[in-house]
Amino acid sequence: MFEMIGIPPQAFFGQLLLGVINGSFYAVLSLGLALIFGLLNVINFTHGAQYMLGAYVAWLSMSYAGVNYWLSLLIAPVVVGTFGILMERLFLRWLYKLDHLYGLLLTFGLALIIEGVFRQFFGISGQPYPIPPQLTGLQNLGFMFLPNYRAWVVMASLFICLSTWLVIEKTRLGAYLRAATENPTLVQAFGINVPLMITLTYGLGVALAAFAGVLAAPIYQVKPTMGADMIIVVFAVVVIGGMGSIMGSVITGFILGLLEGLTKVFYPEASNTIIFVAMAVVLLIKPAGLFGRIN
Amino acid sequence: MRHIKMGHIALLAAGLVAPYFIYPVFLMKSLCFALFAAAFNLLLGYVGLLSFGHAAFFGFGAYVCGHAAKIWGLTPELAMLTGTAVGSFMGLLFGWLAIRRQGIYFAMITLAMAQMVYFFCVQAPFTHGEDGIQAIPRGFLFGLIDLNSNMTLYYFVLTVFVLGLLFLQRIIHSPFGHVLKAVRENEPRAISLGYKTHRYKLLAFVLSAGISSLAGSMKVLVFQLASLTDVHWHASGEVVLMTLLGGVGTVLGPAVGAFIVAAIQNYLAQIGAWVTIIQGVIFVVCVLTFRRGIIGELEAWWLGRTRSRNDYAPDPGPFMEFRQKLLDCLNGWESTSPTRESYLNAARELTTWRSDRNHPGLWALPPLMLTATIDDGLGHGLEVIEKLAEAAGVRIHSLGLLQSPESISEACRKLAPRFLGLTVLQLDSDDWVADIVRRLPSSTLLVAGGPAFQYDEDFARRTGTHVVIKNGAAFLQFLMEWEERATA
Repeated sequence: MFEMIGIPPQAFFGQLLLGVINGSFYAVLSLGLALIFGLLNVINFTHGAQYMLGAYVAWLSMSYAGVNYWLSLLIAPVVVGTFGILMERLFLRWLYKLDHLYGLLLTFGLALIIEGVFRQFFGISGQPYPIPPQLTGLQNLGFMFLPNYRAWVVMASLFICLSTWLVIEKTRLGAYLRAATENPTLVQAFGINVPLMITLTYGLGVALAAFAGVLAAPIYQVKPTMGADMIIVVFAVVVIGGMGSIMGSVITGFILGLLEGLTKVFYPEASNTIIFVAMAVVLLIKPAGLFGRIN
Repeated sequence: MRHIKMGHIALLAAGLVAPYFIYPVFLMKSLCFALFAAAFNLLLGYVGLLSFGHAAFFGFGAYVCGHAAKIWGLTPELAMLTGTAVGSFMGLLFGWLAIRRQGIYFAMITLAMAQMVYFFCVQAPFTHGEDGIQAIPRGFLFGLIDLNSNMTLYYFVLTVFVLGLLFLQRIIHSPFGHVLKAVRENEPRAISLGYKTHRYKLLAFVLSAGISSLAGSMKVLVFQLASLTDVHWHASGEVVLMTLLGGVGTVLGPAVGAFIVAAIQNYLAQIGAWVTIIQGVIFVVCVLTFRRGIIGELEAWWLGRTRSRNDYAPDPGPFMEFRQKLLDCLNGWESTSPTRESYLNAARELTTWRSDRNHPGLWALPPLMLTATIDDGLGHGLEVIEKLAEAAGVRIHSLGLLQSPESISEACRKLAPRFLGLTVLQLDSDDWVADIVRRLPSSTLLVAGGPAFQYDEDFARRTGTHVVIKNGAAFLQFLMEWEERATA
C-alpha cells in the first residue's frame, strides 16, 4: 500500500509519531491554558515563556549542578510554578476586575520580558540537552523503529493529562475548582478560600507548561524562542477545541498533532499552516469550537 | 475646541519643518508606524476589538507593494494602492472569520491567522524568504516627481499620513462611527435596536486592515525593503504597544506611541534584546498603572485644569446684579406653588435679559451640564431643568431621552461635565442610576429629580445620587448655592 502512494512506511509512521509528539505538547499546554482561563479569566500569553523556562531550568541545572533529567522533571515544574505564583500575586491579581484583554496584554508584556532576558544572556542559538541514558535506544515494531524517548514523551503527557482530568472531575478539590469556575462569589460564600485557589491554579497551570518544557528539551533544542513559536499554535488549538472542557482540549491537542504529522507526509509545504487552516474551517462550521460553549 | 484646532495646526507646522532638524528616514518610519497604529486604534479604541495579528496586513501589504513596484514596474502611488487593495481584501477574509468570536478569542484568532500569513511569506517564492524583497525602486510619483530624495519622499509620506488620519477621523465622527461606539459599549443593545452589528464590525475591520497595509506599503518605499520583520508577531505586538502607550481611543495617542516605540527601536537597537525587554516592561507598566496612555492622561489633566480655572474671581458688578434677579425669582416662587409654565416663562425672561446684555450669567466660565433621561419618554421635568440651567448660565449638552446608562456613562467620561442632570420615573431604574453614579468621573455631580425620589425616600441614598432636586425653584437655589461655595 505504501509503495503505491510512493511513501516508505518508515517515513510515514515516523511523521505520524512526530505528529503525536507535537500533539502531546499541544495537549499539555492547552490543558494548562484552559485551566487558567477557567478560573482566572486570563489568557496566559506567558505560557510559552513558562514552557521555555521549564526547558531552561532543566538545561541550566544539568550544566551547572549536574542535576539529572528525572530530578529536573520534578524540580522544573516546582521552580517555574513558584515563579508563576509570584507573578500572579504581584501582577495578575490586579486585573481580575478589568476587561479580559488587559490580562492578555499584561502576560504578553511579561512574555516579552522573559524571552528578552533569555535572549540577552543565552543568545538565540539552541542548546542541546541529552536524552537520559535509560531512554536511549529504539524498539523495532516491525513496520517502524520507535525511539524509546519519544514513546516516553507520549506516555508521560498522556499520564499527566489523564491525572489532571481525574483530579478535576473526580476529587473534592476538583469539584471546588469547577464550582469556583462557574460562580466564584457563591463558592467563597461557602467559606472556601477562592483567592488562594486562584493562585494555586495559576501555579499548577504554569507547572504543567514547565513539565512540557522539560519533556521537550531532549527533542527540540533549548532556545529562548521555543515558547513563542509554540504558544501561537496552541492558541489556535484552543480556539479549535474551545476552552469549555478539559478533556476537549486534550483530545483536540492530539488530533491536531496527528493532522500536522499527516500533512508533513502528504503535503509538507502546508505543515506549518495546517493547524491555522483547520482553525478557519472550524470557525466556519462550528464557531464555538469543537467542545466549546458560546458564553 | 479652539485650543485643539490651534494644537493641530502647530503639530502640522512642526511636521513640515521637522526634517530640517531630525533625520528624515527616522521621521518617515515613525509616520508609517503612526498611521499603522491609528488604523489599529480604529478597531481597539472605537469598536473594542483587540486584533493581535495586524502585522499580517502591514507586512503583507508591504510585500505586495514592493513586488508591484519592483517586478511589475508600477509607479509608487499605484504600487501602494495595490498593496492597500490586497491588504483590504485580506482584511475582509480574516475579519469575516474572526468576528465570529469575541474578546479574547478574537485576539487569538487574529494572531493565528497572522502567523499563517507569516509562514506563507517564509515559503512563498515571491517574498524571497529570509532575504526579503530588496532594492525596491522608489520611482516617480505619478510618473513625474522623483521620490529618491529623502526630503521629497518625506513630504509625500507626511501628506499620506495626514490624509489617512483625516479619513480615520471622518469615519469616527460619521454616523457609522457612532454605531461602532454603540457596539463597543453594548453590543446586545445595538442589536436590539436593529443594527446588524457584525456588518459594522466587519467593515471597521476591513478599513483598519486597508489603512494598515497602506502604512506598510509606504514603509516599503521608505526603506526600499520588504522583509519578514513586518509580518512577524512581534510587529503585531508593537502596534498594540504603540496604541496602549499613546492612549487607546484618542486621536493623537497612537501617533505619539508610534514615535516613542520607533525611537526605542532606532536608538537602542545596538543593545540587542534589551529593546524587547523594554517593550515588555512598558506593556506591564501601561496595563497596571497607566491604562489611559500618555495622551489619555494628558487629556484628563487638561480637563481638570480648565475646570479649576472656573475658580478665579470675576468682576463682581454684573454678577451681583444677575444674582439679585435670580433671588427675586426665588422669592416670588416661595409664596406660590409655581407651575411648569411659570418656570419656563421665568427662564425665557432671564435668558433674554442675558442675551440682550451679552451677560455670562452666574459664571465667567460656564460649567457644563449633561442632561438625559433613562426611563422618561416625555422629559417635561427635564425641560424645566434645562431651561433654568441655561438661564443661569450653565452650558447644556442634552443627550436626549431614554438613553442607555452605558451611553450616559460614556458621555460623562468623555466630557467630564460639572453636573449630570437626570429625571427618574420608575423605582426599578435604581440599578441603572447606581451604575451611572459608580462610573461617574470624580468631578461630576449627579443632580437628579423625579417621581422615583418622591415615592421612595431611600432612592437617593441607595443609588448614591449626590443632589436631589424637588422642583425648578430648588434647582435654581442649588445652582446659586453651588456657585457661592465654588467662589468662597
